[in-house]
Amino acid sequence: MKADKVGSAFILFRSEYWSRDRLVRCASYLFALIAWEVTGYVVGPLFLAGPTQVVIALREVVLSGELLLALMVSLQAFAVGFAAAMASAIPLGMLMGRFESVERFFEPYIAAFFVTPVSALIPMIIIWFGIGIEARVVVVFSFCFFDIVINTFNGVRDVRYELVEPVRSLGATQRQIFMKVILPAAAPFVMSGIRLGLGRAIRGMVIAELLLATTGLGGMIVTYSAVFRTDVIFAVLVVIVMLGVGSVRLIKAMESRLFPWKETSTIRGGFEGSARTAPAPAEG
Amino acid sequence: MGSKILVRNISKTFVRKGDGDEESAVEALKDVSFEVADQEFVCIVGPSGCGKTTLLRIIDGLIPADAGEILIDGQAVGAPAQDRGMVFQTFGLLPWRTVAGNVAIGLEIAGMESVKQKPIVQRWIDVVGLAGFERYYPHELSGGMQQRVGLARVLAIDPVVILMDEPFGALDAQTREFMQEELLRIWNQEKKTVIFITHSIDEAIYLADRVVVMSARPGRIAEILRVGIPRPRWDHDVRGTKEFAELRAHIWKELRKDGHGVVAPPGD
Repeated sequence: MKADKVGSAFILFRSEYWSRDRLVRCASYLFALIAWEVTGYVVGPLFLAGPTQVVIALREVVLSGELLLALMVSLQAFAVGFAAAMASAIPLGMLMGRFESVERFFEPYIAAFFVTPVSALIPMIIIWFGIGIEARVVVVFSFCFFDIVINTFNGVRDVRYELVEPVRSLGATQRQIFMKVILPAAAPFVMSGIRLGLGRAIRGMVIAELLLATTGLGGMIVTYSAVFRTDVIFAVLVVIVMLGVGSVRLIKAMESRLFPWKETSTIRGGFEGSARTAPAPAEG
Repeated sequence: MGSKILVRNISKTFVRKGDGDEESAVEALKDVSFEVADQEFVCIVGPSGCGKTTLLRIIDGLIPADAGEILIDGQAVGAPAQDRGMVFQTFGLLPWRTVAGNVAIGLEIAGMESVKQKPIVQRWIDVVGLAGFERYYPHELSGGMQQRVGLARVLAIDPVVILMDEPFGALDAQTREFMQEELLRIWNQEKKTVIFITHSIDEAIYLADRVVVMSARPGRIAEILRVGIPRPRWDHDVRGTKEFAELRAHIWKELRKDGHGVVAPPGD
């Protein structure tokens, strides 16, 4: 994308920056903001605060330090839960992909838990873990664990035969095949598992704060809804959305950095960031 | 010239499990024996399903034979090792490795220090004509160039025998002829023993010292023919000679006896 290269505000004044795709995107944002503002004005701030009021409320909670404090509390449970999920789900997924007996052993539970709405387990989590940080960590963990397991498992299991065979033909040991073929071939799948898991972990984080002890960002939503401060509620929601979108973007950027070899020949062709496939040079 | 490779009474049957308890067996190879001399170029032609790929995989050690043995320099061979190198029809390059990385993999597996790998890798990249493309990824290369990498990867481990499983089968006709010529040049320089599988009669005659003709169900050797066309073959129109035409007609007739006709007609 051109903007990254130039990195200057003056880019906004260049005509080539305003491609058709960008214009459509901007028009979409503009439309949403205007609709939101008008609706807020019509129904009143008790039901829906408009964007301008949300910005003012955001400034308020940032300056008072309340938002930062809530954010730290939320991120604590999130970080521990997500790290624990990665540390256990990636090895488990790999073992399942590599050894059929391990897959047989765990598959039914993974399948069952994957379709179970974790929110429905929250009463049990309260009974077992209380409503403190431990319980919130468990909720975050159970929200994202299965996405990471399943993606890692698929990545390892579906490594193409045509990739393994030539390396085996060169006399590689099982260990070398795993390290030099299976691991790098599965890495992009593990990464997309992490990306999907991250989104779910953030959802889990907020849900835990809504349904367990009212604390963190979710706690702010509960507290301010009791006093009908829709402006603050939306300010917190904006923060949560930015957190999610920002971290997913970060991982996507890491993915294209780590896996430059990934062919990006999708049916969408020109979708943003996918115009990377260089034309094959002519023979000879 | 003593015999380098001895293929002795190789048989292989694949058992396929059906839905229930029923098992169906396919006899892929039946009592296949032949010899390959040192530095000889042998092509195996045969219809689809005659077991030629299976035979090559057994020689490489990727799958075991049910009966018989493979001797190289008098030694029985088992699991894949670096005395044999195989070039695959689907290239089999690792997409996350660059050209240089793909050529180096055999050396890495052998445990060679990376400082020592570099000159060897560069040498073979130069030999196959890919100098300047060291840092390209496979998906940035054309099919012909990818197979050059596949060949360099095998040459880098300096094998005694090179096994090629329809290596140019996925390439277009023009690239294919160009690659055949290149292969002969490299073979002429390096003096390796080559077993080359193809379903194209023309390709077999153009490349080989001898052509092994196989027939299907069960896979067995129908005939072994010597190609007397003088080398080098790239400096004159080999395909237009009388001997070429006669050999082609003969092999075609031999393959037609099989009744299946599932083989590329002359001129492919």
